Amino acid sequence: MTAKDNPSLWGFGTTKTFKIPVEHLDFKYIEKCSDVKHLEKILCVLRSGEEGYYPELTEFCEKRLKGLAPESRALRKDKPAATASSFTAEEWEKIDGDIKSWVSEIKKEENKIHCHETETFPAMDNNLPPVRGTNSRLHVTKEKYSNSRRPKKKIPRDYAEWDKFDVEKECSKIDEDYKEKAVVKNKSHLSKIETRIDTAGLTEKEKTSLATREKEKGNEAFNSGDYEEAIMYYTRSISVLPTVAAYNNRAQAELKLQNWNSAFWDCEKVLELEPGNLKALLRRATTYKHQNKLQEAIEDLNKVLNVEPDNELAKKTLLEVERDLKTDPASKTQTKGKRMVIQEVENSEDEDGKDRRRAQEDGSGDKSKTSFLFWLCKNLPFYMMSWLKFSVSTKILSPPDFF
Amino acid sequence: MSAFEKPQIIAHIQKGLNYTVFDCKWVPCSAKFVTMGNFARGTGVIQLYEIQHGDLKLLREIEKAKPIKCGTFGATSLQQRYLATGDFAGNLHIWNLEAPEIPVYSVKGHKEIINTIDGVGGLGIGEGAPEIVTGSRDGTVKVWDPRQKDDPVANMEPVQGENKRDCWTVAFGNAYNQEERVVCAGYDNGDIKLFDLRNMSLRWETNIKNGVCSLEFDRKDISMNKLVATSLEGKFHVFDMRTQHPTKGFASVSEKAHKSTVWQVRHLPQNRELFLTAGGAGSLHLWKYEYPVQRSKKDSEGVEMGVAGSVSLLQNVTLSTQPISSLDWSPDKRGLCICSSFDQMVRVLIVTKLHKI
Repeated sequence: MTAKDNPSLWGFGTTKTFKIPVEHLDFKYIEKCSDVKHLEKILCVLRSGEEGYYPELTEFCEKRLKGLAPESRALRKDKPAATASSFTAEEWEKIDGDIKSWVSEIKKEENKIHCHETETFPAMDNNLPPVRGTNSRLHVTKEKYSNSRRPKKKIPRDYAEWDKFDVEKECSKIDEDYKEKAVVKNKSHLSKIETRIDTAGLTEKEKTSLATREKEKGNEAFNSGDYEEAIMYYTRSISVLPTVAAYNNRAQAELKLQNWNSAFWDCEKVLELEPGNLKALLRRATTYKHQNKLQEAIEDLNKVLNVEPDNELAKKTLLEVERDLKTDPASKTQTKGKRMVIQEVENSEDEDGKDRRRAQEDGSGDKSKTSFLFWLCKNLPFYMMSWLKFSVSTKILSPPDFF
Repeated sequence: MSAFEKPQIIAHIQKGLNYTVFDCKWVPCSAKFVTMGNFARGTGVIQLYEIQHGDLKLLREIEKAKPIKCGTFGATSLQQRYLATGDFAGNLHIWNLEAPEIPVYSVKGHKEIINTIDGVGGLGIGEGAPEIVTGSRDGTVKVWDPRQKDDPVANMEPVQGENKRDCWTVAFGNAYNQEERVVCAGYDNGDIKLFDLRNMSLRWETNIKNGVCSLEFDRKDISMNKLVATSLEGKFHVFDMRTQHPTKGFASVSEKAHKSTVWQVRHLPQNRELFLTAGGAGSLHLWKYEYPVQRSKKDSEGVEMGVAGSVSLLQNVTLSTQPISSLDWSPDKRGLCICSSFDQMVRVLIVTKLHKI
């Protein structure tokens, strides 16, 4: 290789790949550089070793790049698989022991299934759904992605049929067809899943694993934000085998959807099966808080803090509940009577009423009377209606008895 | 995630074989697995191994007339655990590994090699009838029911006169109730087609420009959520299958990795957001998918369209210099998986710390 072939010897000063000036392969430059793409190129050149082997510079460049863009693809290194030597003796013991115990466990399980096989074999075949339709052929054309399938058009074959051909109607039909196709039902699956699973002929072990699988599906749906789907999978899991975990998780999903009542009942179920379950107590406290049963909420939270005094969530919720209790003790007592009757709507109305009263306290003296009257006139019809409902429900105005 | 919290991929057991191995699958509810391939003399082989005392013990070796390309346990019950295989001559067989002399079911399904096979409805996964789907070099994708002899239950083939493209991969999905099911097929020209088996119609198709090597739904037995498609040229795409736009189809995110063909993708059965990809340079990458804040949004005309999330690399290792042709996670033990590669090796891997993710 002569000097002619190697441009850097001429003093052109750039690398072969990427044409980076050689001055950039330097600690000071890399420290100051914040262009991620450029750093990636520098790292590539350093790693390839074509300008020489500089391990410390390479490491420095990697650190800098990690600081700027930890997800960068250039940081991916080929490395061999880990072996026993990559772990401490303790860790390796744990991993190895885990596998060994699993292997022996699963062998025992397998032997059990093997023994059962001859007994339960005939039962399985009868429960299967029928074979899908008749042999149906689906012709696939090599259409490009943008084309959509057009329905077959009845092309008129002679003059008589052409006379009957209504151009306007056909045009509007084509438009409609397109719109129909455009409506792709995206959430229809929720209604089509069975909420109860038929568990006929399943052993205990099978039921447990089925319930666990449904619960895992529910967990996955929860983690991706599909709370209704999560609730449905938890319901399915419970229909196979009711467990504390499934009820607890369903309560949490209901809380996310703000179904306070359903969440409450799920928490109750858990506490029936396992009194003192901390998660259930916490979640029940949250349902109490949102249903304005603040005293009960405080009780539950205190129970949790007795067992786990450092529970962050319990402490936070307790603070919020105590704050709620302090700010509006008046409204609590006033609205207790109405709450019995109008459960759905009253929350928002209450909020309104509270706000108005607060504004009143802050407002100037002169305006207070008029604003109070205004408020009364606005809310009076509502109070009348609610009183009417209340009285009807308690049979004050009962129909006269005929003797 | 700091280096200590990252999952580690451990090569626990490695075994050299004396034949080319194409596929390996765990036997459900056991510490056994099968490897399938062909001997140098041109015959097919299925071997059954069991993990014993930190090493592999060969329990059974079954030799058959034609080389075996792929297999699945997906359509069998937990009690029977029959293996369905596709071979180089286009035959689909279902074997009882305890009595492998005569197949339980056998049909000459295709005119050319069966490249890929998948099963659903067995093992307690997926509602509805157990079915097997095969994809072949003759361009057709056929769905079989082991209770129906000789004829497929559904047949997806190119129209007369069209060029047939090799089907390289198939996957079942959307099997959340007895009626619904979809089959997704990937072809060598980059086509991905989604067939709805309930309506017997083509629900969606797209082209990812490079041949599709492997397709998998994140879970077969839920309403289709995500689909990962891997291809040549080191790319893979993750499609969000929850929201279909009438013209734009499904939203996707793509990632470059492996610097060569991405041969396989397998989702962790215990957590659908984690998946492993296997590459042509003998490397394995473990990925995690994160959902966007909003999974769907309205486009300029007010029609719903999906929003794809992001994929991040958790760990990567290089196991060999030859492509890793097949991967399988154990359905019973989180983190245990097997992989086979073209250097005639089968490896048992342990991936740690997956429960913490």
